Amino acid sequence: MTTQTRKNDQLIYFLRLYYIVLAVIASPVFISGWIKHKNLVPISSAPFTLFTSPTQFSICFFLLIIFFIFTSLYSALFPQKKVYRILTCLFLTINIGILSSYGKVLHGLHGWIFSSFFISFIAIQSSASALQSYNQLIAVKISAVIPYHVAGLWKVRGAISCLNSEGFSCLTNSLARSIGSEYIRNNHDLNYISRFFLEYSYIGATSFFLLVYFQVCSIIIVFKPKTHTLFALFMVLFHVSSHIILKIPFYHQMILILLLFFFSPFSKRAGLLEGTLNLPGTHIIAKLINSLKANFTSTMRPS
Amino acid sequence: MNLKITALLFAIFHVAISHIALPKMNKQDLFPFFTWDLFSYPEENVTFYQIKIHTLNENPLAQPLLFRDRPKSLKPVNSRVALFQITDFAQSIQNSEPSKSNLFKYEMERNIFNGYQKAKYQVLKTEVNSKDYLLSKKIISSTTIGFFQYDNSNSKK
Repeated sequence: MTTQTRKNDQLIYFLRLYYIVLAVIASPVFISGWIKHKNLVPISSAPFTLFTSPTQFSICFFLLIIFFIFTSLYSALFPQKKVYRILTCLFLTINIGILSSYGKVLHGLHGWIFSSFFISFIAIQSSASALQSYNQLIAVKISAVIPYHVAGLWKVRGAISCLNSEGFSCLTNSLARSIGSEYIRNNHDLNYISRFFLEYSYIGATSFFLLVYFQVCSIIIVFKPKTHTLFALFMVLFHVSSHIILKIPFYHQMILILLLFFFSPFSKRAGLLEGTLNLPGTHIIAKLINSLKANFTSTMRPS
Repeated sequence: MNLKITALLFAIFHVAISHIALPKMNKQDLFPFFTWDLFSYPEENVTFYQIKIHTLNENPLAQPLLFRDRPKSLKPVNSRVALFQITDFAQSIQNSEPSKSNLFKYEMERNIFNGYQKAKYQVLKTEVNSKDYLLSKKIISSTTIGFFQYDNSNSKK
């Protein structure tokens, strides 16, 4: 078997895995949403004014969910068929759109919408080189990290105005304030962990700076395969801790990141130290250390 | 066009939508684009909206019920979404947008008063220090936005 065929097979397996995972994680969201909202036409959203009765809406929504399950599973079985991949993206977008029309945006699946859009256009050709397939997956990875990048830029903007108006203390209090606003907005009750971070917010300050760094640099990180394992693990840690502390379950996005940055073909597995030394910014420090080492050994070498 | 370049252009486009267009439109989302302005500048004091229910099915309540206290007599379709619907409704009243507020009122009421035909309630705007409120329920100020009635008796088939 040639390397080219092997890479192509890897890509097909990856697409299968992607669509199975998508069907498994999105279908329960849609079905539970349908059970909750089937009799409530979201009238404040223009497209739904077409439905004159809740029964019509309920049947239509149910059919859209069935179409999504069918096309996503069909895409998993036959990933070579582009048309089913495009239809999966379409039904995914429509169903998320419906569930986002009740006053609360279902943004946990936005990364999946963007990635399923770009994954629809991946060409599986036996003649495609490994580099071509790798470049196509890069596009999918970029689309998956867009939410992080945009959120990171907002945090930089927020930090600048925060520093200007309140000074450094507002950054160290950021976690407590985030817990405060999120818990009040969603009417959550405090647990031991959130109470601890509410009172000792500065402990979480370092992780806040790290998070902003990873979010802002996420698009650059996509182009550095050696950092992918580190990035995936950091994001898993971030999502798990934000669920525990802030009660924000963002597991759909976390699974997407694991899939694209940890289980994807063509990824270069590197240790955490190697990953850290290849991160944007730190790679310059690593180069500097290496050149200093080289200079030192050359001067110490007996002539 | 190369898929990688398209994805990069799409990322730039999304940044522009989220950082320029949506804030100008005073919107949080333009599906499938979202602002992603999450905890960028969390403030110490938080303002939120809540509703206080005075009567249910024309029966005056001995003690008005705050929806946030999760009273057992209410069975909302989706209690989490209801909190966002209350905010949308209250803000549309404050911004004097009657067409929007009618829609939001309808969607909020059929969610919150699920199973009831009539109700009278009050919408409140409350300001708190988030830490003080969570630890001791201390409130800085609370103002009434208005008193409203829910009546679903005529629409019953």
